[in-house]
Amino acid sequence: MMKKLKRRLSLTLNKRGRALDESLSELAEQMTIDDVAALNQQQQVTLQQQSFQFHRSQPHLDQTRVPSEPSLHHQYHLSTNQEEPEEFPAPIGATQVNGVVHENPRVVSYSAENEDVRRAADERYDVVSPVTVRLRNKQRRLSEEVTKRLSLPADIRLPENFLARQSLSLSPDGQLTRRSRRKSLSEIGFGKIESYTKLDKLGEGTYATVFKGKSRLTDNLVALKEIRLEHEEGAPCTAIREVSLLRDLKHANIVTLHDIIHTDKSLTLVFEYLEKDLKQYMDDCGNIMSMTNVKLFLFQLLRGLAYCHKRRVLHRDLKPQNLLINERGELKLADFGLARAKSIPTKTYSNEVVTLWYRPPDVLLGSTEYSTPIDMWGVGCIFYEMACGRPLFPGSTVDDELHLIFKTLGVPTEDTMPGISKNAEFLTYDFPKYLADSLITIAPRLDSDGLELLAKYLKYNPAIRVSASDAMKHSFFDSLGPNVHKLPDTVSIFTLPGITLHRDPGMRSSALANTGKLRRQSMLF
Amino acid sequence: MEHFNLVCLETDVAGKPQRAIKDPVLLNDKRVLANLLSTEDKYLPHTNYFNCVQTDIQPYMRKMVTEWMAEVCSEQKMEEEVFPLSVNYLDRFLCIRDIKRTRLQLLGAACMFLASKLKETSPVSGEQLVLYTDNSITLEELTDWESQILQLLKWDLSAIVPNDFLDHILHRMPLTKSIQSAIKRQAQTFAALCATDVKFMVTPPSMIACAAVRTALRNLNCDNGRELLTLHDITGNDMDLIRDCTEQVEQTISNCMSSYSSGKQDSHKQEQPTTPTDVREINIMSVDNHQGVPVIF
Repeated sequence: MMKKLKRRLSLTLNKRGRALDESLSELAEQMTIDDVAALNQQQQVTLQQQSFQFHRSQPHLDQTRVPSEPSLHHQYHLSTNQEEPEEFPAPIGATQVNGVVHENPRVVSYSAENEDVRRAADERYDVVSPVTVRLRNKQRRLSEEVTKRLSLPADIRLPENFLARQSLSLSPDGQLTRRSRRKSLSEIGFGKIESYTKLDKLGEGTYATVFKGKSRLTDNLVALKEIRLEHEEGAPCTAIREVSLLRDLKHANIVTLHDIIHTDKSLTLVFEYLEKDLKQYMDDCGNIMSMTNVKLFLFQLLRGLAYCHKRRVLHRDLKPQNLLINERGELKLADFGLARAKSIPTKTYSNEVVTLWYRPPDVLLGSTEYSTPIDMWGVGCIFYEMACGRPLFPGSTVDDELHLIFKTLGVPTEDTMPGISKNAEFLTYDFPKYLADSLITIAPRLDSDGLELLAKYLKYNPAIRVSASDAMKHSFFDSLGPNVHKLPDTVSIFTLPGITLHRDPGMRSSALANTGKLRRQSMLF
Repeated sequence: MEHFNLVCLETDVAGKPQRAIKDPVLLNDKRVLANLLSTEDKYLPHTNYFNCVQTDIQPYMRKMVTEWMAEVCSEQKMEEEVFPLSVNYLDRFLCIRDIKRTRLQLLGAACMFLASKLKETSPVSGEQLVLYTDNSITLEELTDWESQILQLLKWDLSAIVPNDFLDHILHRMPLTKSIQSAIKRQAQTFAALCATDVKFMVTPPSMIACAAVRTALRNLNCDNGRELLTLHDITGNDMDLIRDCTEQVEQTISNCMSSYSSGKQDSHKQEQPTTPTDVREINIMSVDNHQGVPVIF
């Protein structure tokens, strides 16, 4: 059969004078011509049959068919029939460690049963699957099953009177039972704009306005990212990318998306609220940060980034403004509007992809072949900025930016940046023969480990620029102890003993103590 | 100046958009592949919905609509992942909600709309998609269904498709660069063909990727008898299952090729193919058709 196929393939394709490996269009074209013809006949026949039988066949169908239900409910019904434990396994038993959802994977029997039910269902309906490997690894599936069901943030605190009103039952340990939880999802007010009070405006971007807000359900502060839909054809791609990527990113160093409110006129994404971004933080401490804090922030940035890269997500817009920081010192990556799954080709990505200051020279010189190293250059620039109190390469144009980079790091050569001698863009600039400064002269606050690490980010050749997970293992971070590498994804490094934010030398008012902050504010008079 | 600098080297080379490089950070890191394998099941349609959810939709309708989608994607030169992704959304939607046959093409269009927005730098316009249905749907319906899909799938759109595995698999096989790219292109085509075939609906993407790669290897006479073991080592998929799936893929291809050769004669006789597949045919069909194809069941 294969020989026949091969002959056919080559025959048909050669006849048309094309290479064998022409893609989808080719085959799609080939298949459709004939299939449509074949289908047309079939379709006419079936159409007649169906319109003829339609009324009669209906009751018969109803008897045999399981009532159609939205999938989640469907699963839910199936699984409750199996008398599984009532408590919602993970999220409700979740322990909350300072804003970090720590999922408790106590669901083995539950999911296994669910699998059986599904399998039974599949068998019943005679699935013509050539392979049934979906059941390959039950264990693996558990966490996903749970995540799929998780539509409420696990740290939700519901008012007592609300529970009474909804006559919701609490399980013995004082938590909502799973059934009540599910029933109450929409009643509680998720997905509704009325559930949030809008407070101050935090900022305005190109496609969204961000407000500080408060959840009426939990009294927690939230950030409301309001996206106008007027000029868009449906949902904006930035929102689609941001939401579909963030849904899958559950990490202590990535901002949590709580809720999505989608109406005709606008789309509001509800995020956890963090007090400030790294830019504000650096401003507030007069640009003199404690080196311990630099280390803590840098490590968290790498941790979040390594997690993203592991999931084939590039951030592509790293800058201090997109790194959010709370009072405890937890740093979280935010603003994934420009991030896209790695597998995407670059075609014509637009200019504002990376703020110029944090953009690597290979991209500035027109390279479209970028990947994870695009983020790592930015990490180096941010590292320098935290340690030295000023931006490393604050260029205003591409020309300016490149000059600043080459003045400091030397003009690239074929050794440091393969292919540069043939780069037309590079040649037209005709840069003076800048020689590299030693990094210690520009970053005197860094010790030898720090300088070595900084140099690893600032490699011209993206192929040898350090990766996020390798950078985390650098000796610069040895002082944080070995346990920072053993934490589960969703656990903050501040849960480890001995890891705390230090007082920044330049900080005028300590933002570290909650009460202290307020007191000092009133003392300003 | 800035614009000039970036844009002038970013133009497509020989009409083909440049693609992101194969990133050694991603390809060499075992965890990336492990992570793909561990999440792929999450995005599989969980049931054969023809039997238990849909009251009107039949398997042949899915075939027609997916083939129409494949055509639109290729004619619009969309990214390779857009087509399999949109079929994934379609299947997952149909697992949940019962729809009428008259709405199936609308659903397919809205799924492409979303996948294109997710994956492409310059996504296809809604108007273009409306034209492709020969104005049988409106822009309003398209955006309305788009938001229905988003809500039903809970915005969970970054699904995993067979294409995601191809680089990871090929990177770990002892192949020369040119063979590798030839195999990749063929495997992509085979994987796309599988997306139009109902029998692969609940097959995990990594399995389809393995089978597509193996078919391509055999097709190009690059098989050495050890590739089954290699594929097993890379993905952890059972060897017997890979073998079975490869046979199914080959079967699908040969069905498609044989019906192609017979279909071609038919279409010559008829001289009026229902589905225009190139510009000349469209002109013959009708001038004001806007290349649109209403899929009528």
